[in-house]
Amino acid sequence: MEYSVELEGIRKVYGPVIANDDISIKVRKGSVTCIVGENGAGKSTLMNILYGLEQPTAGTIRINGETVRFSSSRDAIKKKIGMVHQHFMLVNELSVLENVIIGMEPRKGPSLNYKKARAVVSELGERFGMQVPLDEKAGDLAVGIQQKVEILKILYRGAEILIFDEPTAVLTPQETRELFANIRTLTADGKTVLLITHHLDEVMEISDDIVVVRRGKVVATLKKEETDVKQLAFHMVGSALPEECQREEKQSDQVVLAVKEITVAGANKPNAVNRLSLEVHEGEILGVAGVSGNGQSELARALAGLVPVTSGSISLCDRDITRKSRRARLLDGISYIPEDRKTDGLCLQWSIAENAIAGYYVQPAYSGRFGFINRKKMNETAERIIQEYDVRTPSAAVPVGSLSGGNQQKVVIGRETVVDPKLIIAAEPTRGVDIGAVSFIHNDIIALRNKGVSVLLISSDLDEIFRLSDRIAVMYNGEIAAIVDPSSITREELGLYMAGAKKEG
Amino acid sequence: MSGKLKKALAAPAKTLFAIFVALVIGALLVLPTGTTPLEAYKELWNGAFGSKINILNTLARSTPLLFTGLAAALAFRGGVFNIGIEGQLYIGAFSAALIGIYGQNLPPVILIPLCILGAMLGGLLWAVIPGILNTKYQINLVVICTMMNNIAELFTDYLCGYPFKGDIPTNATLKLGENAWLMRFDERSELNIGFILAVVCAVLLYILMFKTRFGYETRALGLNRRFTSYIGVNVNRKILAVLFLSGMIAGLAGAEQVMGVNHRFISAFSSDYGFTGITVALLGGLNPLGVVIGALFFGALENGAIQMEVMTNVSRDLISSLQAVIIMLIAAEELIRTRRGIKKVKGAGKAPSGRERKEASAS
Ligand SMILES: Nc1ncnc2c1ncn2[C@@H]1O[C@H](COP(=O)(O)OP(=O)(O)OP(=O)(O)O)[C@@H](O)[C@H]1O
Ligand SMILES: [Mg+2]
Repeated sequence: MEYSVELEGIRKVYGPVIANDDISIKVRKGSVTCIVGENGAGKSTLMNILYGLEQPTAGTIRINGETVRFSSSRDAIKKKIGMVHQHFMLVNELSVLENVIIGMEPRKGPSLNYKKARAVVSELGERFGMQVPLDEKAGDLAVGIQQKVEILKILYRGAEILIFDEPTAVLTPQETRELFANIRTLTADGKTVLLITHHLDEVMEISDDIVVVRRGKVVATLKKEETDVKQLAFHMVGSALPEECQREEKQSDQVVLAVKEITVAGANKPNAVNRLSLEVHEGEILGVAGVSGNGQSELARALAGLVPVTSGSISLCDRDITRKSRRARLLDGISYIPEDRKTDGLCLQWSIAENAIAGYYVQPAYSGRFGFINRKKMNETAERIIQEYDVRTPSAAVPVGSLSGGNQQKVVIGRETVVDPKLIIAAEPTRGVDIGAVSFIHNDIIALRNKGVSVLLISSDLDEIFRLSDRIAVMYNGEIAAIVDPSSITREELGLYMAGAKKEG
Repeated sequence: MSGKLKKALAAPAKTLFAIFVALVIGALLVLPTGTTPLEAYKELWNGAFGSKINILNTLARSTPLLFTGLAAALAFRGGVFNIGIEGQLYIGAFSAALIGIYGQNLPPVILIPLCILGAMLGGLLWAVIPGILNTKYQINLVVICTMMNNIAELFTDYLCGYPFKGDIPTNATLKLGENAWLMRFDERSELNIGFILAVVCAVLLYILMFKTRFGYETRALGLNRRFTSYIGVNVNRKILAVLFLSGMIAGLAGAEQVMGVNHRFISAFSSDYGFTGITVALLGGLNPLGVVIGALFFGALENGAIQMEVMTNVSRDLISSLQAVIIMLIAAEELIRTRRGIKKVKGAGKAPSGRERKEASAS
């Protein structure tokens, strides 16, 4: 048997935290190996080690049978290893083309050969089905497209072993299918893929081999044919999942959020949201489904008060808030879980405690006379979030950036829900969190709903939409294509609305 | 408690380390001159701290750097690159001078605060233009500030050369009324009560930055502007506030020089205080308490260098070299930090889950 990657006895220690504890994995050439496990289990750490970003405390790495030592990712790239990170590493100010070729620009004499670069990159894009606008600034693109740029970037560098850290977290089901098709093309080509995901159905779809990691150790190595979602979940969590919180039947006509004909400008579109109207009732979860890039982000940001609407009106509990600032809305009880936790929702360099009061620090509980911040209250809130949301951390004083992705998300969700909001705008609330935490967050959202909180749930995960929504609004091209009842619509039908092939009325 | 203290001292400790490394490198630079480093540093030390007067003079030299260092530390913490401190200092100084000249019949208790206020307003005024141009029209702050510096220096040169020319041949205003002078501690030294004011400023600024809402927002602004608007801060308004406050502190630097040292506005009196202040701020880790150490260090260097030059054959230029070394050290540290990202975080202890901790505390 030919192995592209063999990891043996890998150990990684951060101070007293053991992120990887004697991990051994063999990856067959031309196969897809999925790494699954809870948030903070050590998956990203392991992949970072393989990609040379982190050096193992102990253990050996063999690539195609040859023992290697990577002191940086440069060494790993030389061995034809590429990685698409959980958080993108693009230079926002540069164009897509420049981002792809950066550091490996084809030259013509002293100057860059853009023509050649363009040809090579668009050929790559075509071959793997990833057409991207080469001349646009990377920072202006939707996350989904940014990821494709990342993939092109590593392919351009000639990667034979591709590592994907939660690639599907940002994709729509459609895009995920495309990605998986691409991955199959890659493996058919003899390339080897390692992939981290929290979606077990995706694991069952794409993988050949599955490695389950828990608390830094490999707890199971399985062949796909020999296992199923239930068994995987059990291996991951080490116990059965918590019971699902049931939705109480409750009808309220009270309109909490009323949006009338709003238009919102996007990065390169004057009407990313186009004369959109919707209502969210008290104790209702309105799911907004749609392929990402159809104005959902702009809608969320406009409702949260981060970008102005160019026309139309927004009211909360019958009070007009169209012109109200972000802060005023936040204090009025609009919570916002942003889709981009790393850039919007958290200040990564800050401690959990400082992040725990982000936005709410202006409340009298936290800032007293003369604008002094009440650190005791701040720490109390942080502790509360850590306990109620089971955030894995040594203390509230560590920088939030040192937490694993899922735990960072728990900090954001905790902060936005412990404040007793009237309305929660939740954009991709479970992106990148493990199945245990997903069911925890889902239960939390339902419990809030049962308490009468209104939720505007924006998600590209249809399972989530169906599981949580009282009503589903499908967004297409900045408009609501349809508002449907989840119990009386099939996924296929919803897909048609999402693709713009069907429209209500 | 001791953890808290440790944290408060962490930044100053880093500052001291940078100073130590700079001195070691400086020693290597001294070697070729024939003077032993020990000798040179001994004279430097004596020059800076050898007698009461030397100590006072060191403090006097630190004073303007302390103000400009604080102005820079605040602005840079907020990611607002106020390179215009030099210009704000000049306008502040000139405002203080005018008030001190024309208000000389007022009693000190009124006149002195008035002059100081005027200086702060002058500094602020000089920050308004770059602030507006930057936030409204997205013009690069560094570029406008640099131009504003030149304008300020030339403009005040004109003012004290023509309309407000005083009684001495050089371009300078009249003397301020004695009621506007800041009290000195010893007639042989220029050290004045402005130094105390600067230290008070440092403490206040420390509290402002790390204990208050304003500081919370400022630090957010410096780290992540998207996050800053997410938490409900109007980013542009915040940039202006930080810039204005920084300008006001820069104005204080000018006031101290005019009211406490020269007693008149002299054209181009600042020996790059505004720029050295930026180095001081970086050396101090953008922490007001670190800035105190940084300013004292630079003051001591400049003051001690005079004696060192006389007593040994090491030129005073060694000081500029040390400053350059420090800048490089800071840049190198920054580089290493950004390369590692925020990976190497301290204090990552064992990571029990929140639930485990709850269970533990419940039992
Ligand atoms: N630089 C670091 N400093 C300290 N601790 C770290 C660092 N990086 C990771 N850790 C810790 O190591 C553990 C493993 O983290 P890792 O990011 O590998 O988890 P993960 O399995 O990728 O989780 P997720 O699914 O949430 O992304 C966590 O407890 C995390 O807090
Ligand atoms: Mg991870």
